[in-house]
Order: sequence, then structure tokens, then C-alpha cells
Amino acid sequence: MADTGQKALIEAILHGDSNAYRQFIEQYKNLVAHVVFQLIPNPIDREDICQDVFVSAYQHLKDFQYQSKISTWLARIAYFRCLNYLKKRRAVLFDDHTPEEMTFDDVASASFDPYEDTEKKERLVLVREALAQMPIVYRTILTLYHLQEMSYQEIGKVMELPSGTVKSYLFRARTLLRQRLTAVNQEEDAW
Amino acid sequence: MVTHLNDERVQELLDGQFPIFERREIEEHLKSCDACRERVSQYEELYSTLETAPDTELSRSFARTVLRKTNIEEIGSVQFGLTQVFAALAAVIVVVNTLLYFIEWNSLKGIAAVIGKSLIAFVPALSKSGSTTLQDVDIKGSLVFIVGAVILFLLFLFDRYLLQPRFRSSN
Ligand SMILES: [Zn+2]
Repeated sequence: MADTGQKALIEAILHGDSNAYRQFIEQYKNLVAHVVFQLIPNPIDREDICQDVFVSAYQHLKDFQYQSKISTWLARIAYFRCLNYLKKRRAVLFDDHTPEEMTFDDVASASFDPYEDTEKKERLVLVREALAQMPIVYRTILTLYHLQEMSYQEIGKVMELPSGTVKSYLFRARTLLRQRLTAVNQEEDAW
Repeated sequence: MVTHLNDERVQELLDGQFPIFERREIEEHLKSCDACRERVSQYEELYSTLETAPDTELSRSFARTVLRKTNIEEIGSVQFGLTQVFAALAAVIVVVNTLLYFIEWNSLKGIAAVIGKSLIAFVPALSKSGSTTLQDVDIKGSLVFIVGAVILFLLFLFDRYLLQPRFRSSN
């Protein structure tokens, strides 16, 4: 299902064209980084893991069958690479939390328009804090659905889950986040 | 008749999963129901937050590092750095010099003296004002110099096209 442009790019990479692989990396690094940064709490390890994902992708590119999109295939490599990393660190997949607390300044200074309203930034901080407390499966699904605009089927392929399960996890995750935001707003209103 | 929207239905609405007629009915309901409108707006805010890309900046050398790592995996032990190439070059020149002088004066001097001569030979060969008393050595020196240059060139080609990784950075 990969289009002809992607096919040509992969052929070029397989023929040893370093510029083609550079282009491939540029094209997909955000996808890989979104997954890795969402799942790996330790900032020092994130870049290394992203590199590992691309090295592994290169090594397995010759086995790519064009039966799925490259983005799905690559997200899958990234997801399982993260799971391995976390397993090695004895992280419990369904009881995972991020030790570092994200501050308002972290988010405010990251990549946002200074003229954006503070309410939106506060919401961003809240959502990201709440996300960090969520199970890895929820976080991955939210990232792939909302940032990568993948379908349930594609996410299912990435994570080896039935698409019905993907949908129910996605809905559950968003419901939890909405409840959390509402609870915080009500606390604030009570002051 | 549309009932109030629970969490699931609001999400389905925002995910665009309802057919157009059902959507119209829901929109009608929202016009008259504050509670549902509030819930929809909460989810709209949440969606917009989730769609805001987090800061996932990678270092500027990210692609270069990946390409380098890929080479190591790909070429493995065949990969040589420039240092090794020039060490090999130096060794080859010394061996060639030694052999040349050994053949010329093998009956006269020991190996130590031969190495000494070969070192001396380089001086007049490189500086064109060669000493007249060492005229024959000067010619030898020039020969050695040419042989060295040829080896250097061959090694350069060898390095450029055979030993360097396939993914040598092009810029
Ligand atoms: Zn209602």
C-alpha cells in the first residue's frame, strides 16, 4: 500500500543511497520521536532509542513487504523497542508513571506561541501530566490517533491489538482525561 | 429523538463516526441542551490539546549519527579510519625503501645501516639541491619518492572507494 514515491525511496536506500536514507529519516523522525518521547520517561535515553529505531529499520528494510504503510511499520518498531527498554527497567506496563514532573515553564517554553492564552497552556500541562500517569497502551493509542492520525486498524497493526480493543482503549483514555480536567477545573472553581 | 450525549457518543461525534442525518439530529439537540454542549466543548478542548505536538526535538546531528551507526552495523570490521590508512601507508613506504636499498647494498651494510641510508636519501630527494657526493643516492631517493607517491595515490583510491562506508555523509 506504500505509494510509488515511497517505493522508489526504499529502493534507493536498499541500493545504498545515503541521501535517500537521510530523506527517509527526515520524513519519519517526528513519528518515531512522538512515540518514543511519549513512552520513555528518561530524556537522556530518548534520542538513543530513536536512533536505534532507525538503525533497526534500516537493517530490516529489505524485508519490508509493502503490505502496510511505512509509518505503521516504523511505529511498530518504535513501540516494541520502547516496550523492550521499559521491560528491562522493570516498568510495569499497566502501572507506569513518569517520575519527572512537568512544570508549567517546561510546556510554556517548549514550542508554543507566547501569545497563546495561558488557559490553553495550563490545560496542556494538565493533560500531559495526566497522560504521564496513564498506562503505556493508552498513551501510545492517543499519540498514534491524535498526532499521527492513524486509524484503529493501523494502530491495531502497530500494537498487535484488535481494532475493537484499540477503539475501546482510546475512548476510555479520553474519558479519563476529560474527567480529570473537569475535576481540576471544579477544584479551581471551588477556591 | 436524541437523548443526552454520553462520553462515548460525544467522542464518536468528534471522530466523525456518525452519518450525516444522525449528526444533524445531534446538532439540533445541542442547540437546546447546555449540559451536552458543555460536554462537547470539554472534549473539543481535550482533542485540541492532544493534537498539539509535544516538543520532541532531536539533536541536529540525529540523521548523521543514525547513518554512522548504520555503517558500523553494515560494514563492520572492514571499516577503517584515516589513521589506520596512513599508518598502513607509512609501513608500506618503509618496507619498500628498505627493500630497495637492501637489494643495492646488501653485501656492504647491515639492515640498520640500510634504514639509515634510506632516511638520508629522502633529504636530497625532497630538496632538489641534492649533494653531489651522494648523486647515486639522490636518484634512488627520487625513485623512492615516486614509489611512495604512487602507493599514496593507490591507497587513497582504495580508501575512497573500497574501505569507506556506503553511507559516507555526502555533505
Ligand atoms: Zn443533552
